[in-house]
Amino acid sequence: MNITELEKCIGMYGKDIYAFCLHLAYSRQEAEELYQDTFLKAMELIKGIEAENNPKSYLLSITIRLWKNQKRKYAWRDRIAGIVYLEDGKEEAAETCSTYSLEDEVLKKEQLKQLRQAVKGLGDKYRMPVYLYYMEGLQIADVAKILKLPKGTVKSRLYKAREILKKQLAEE
Amino acid sequence: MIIMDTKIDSLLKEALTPSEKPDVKLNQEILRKAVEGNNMRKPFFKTIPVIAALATAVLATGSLTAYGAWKYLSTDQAAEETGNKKLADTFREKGAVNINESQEYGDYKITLMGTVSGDKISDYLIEDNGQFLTDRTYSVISIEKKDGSPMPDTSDKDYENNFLASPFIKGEDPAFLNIYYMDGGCSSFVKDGVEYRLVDHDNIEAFAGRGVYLGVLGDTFYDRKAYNFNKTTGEITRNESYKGINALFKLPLDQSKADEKKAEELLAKWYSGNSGKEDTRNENNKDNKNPQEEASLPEEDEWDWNKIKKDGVLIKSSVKKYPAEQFNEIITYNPGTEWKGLIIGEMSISIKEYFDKDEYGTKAISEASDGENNIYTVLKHNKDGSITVSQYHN
Repeated sequence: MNITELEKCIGMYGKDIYAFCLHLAYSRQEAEELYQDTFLKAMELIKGIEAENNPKSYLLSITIRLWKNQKRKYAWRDRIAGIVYLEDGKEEAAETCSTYSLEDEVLKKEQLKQLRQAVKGLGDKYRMPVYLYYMEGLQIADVAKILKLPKGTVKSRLYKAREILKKQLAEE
Repeated sequence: MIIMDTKIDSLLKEALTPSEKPDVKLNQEILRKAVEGNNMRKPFFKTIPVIAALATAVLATGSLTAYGAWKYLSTDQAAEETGNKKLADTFREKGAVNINESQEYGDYKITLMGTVSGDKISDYLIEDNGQFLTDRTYSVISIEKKDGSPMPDTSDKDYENNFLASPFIKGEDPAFLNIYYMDGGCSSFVKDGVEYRLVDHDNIEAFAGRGVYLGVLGDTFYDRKAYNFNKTTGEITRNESYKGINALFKLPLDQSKADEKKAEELLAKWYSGNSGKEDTRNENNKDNKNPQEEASLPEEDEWDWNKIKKDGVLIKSSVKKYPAEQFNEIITYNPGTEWKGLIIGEMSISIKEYFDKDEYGTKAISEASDGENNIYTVLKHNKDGSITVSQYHN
């Protein structure tokens, strides 16, 4: 992939990959490193954007590989600095329904925030499929391909994740 | 507060929808690094250009005849070529195992040339989290085109860093234990049209008693379809029907170095991601060894359609039919079902996620439940290609 293609690729998929990195990593700095590394690695690996059937899936799979490879580094940092969880302030953009009262809106925002935090705390086994399915909007088959898992396992992990999240939200 | 499946679905989508864009400066930084070629900040795989060619050629002369092949380097010469004199000496002098076994797949001939293990055998120090890893195993492989045409040089625009050489341990699923987890790395260069790879990782001689393989895949990442892992015997074999490159060599190691205690320590380290935090062996094995926790969860056919058909009650108002043309689309199903406090909202269903084009039948695809009352959504792919979605309650 040349520079022009890389630029195009960032333009097309940057937002999605960035969101994935933000949720995966434990600090903005780590997320931005992961985001950068994903595209730089993609430049090495991808001949051209058009050459890949599903560039977004491919980019996400690179992100996951890099994340797995670098987790040790992050784990080491965690011990020194502690984990600072990202809370992204995205709720400002999340709800625009005008029929809600202000109170409803505040409650909804709080619920969404709690949900994001709960997903973050799920552990990679469950949160990876959740992010790929709900945030990136991928089909089960694509999630399975990226995570190199059978479709049934992805489904069961999503099911289990939903159960855990429902329970956690119900306890809030 | 009871949260339904459909509610949690929509909440998750809402909570996780990407809203934040990467900063322009961040994207500019990527492009700058790409332009400068500074994209190997922390390389896992190092690409070594052919350097000091003249000096190397002189060193190489003596042993070229020993190989009887005009173009091949020996293991020590390959190490020398990467500027690693200490490793070259080790390959020459300290009981390195010369193998020179070749396998051919697709357009390539792959040769495992030899391997050597030991403490402080390299000029290069591998640093990991402030610790130097000195006890290493190095293997040399060569990759060449079967038709004799040269492999593209690492500086060539056609060079593709698209091979992965990794040790596998008998008894351990290579999907979960490969070079990525073994503090591994690789140096590569092309000489006289042949690509050489020096693969290094933690010393694996301790596993001599169990059995160790070296696999070479035609991909940068491990592909679990490339090899078969027999959970009962622990044997790893090539998947003969695999379309890509999946060479597999048995790595002959010195049996006297077998050390079960050390092997277990290494496994614990690798599976914990070297952090000492959590040994993930049990977690990884969940997918393969059917532990009780996973067994209790719904799998592919998680909701038994036959049971629903036998015990459930069809909610007539929920039945919706879609034409065959919508097979490849995501259909919006909004039955407006309300039953015993359970309310089913709009659902997006991708039919091809559940059925192949020529596969017909009925599958239950989701369940809404408050713990006592259940509503199941059922998908039927009819023989005329049309699709029927309906719901049943218990």
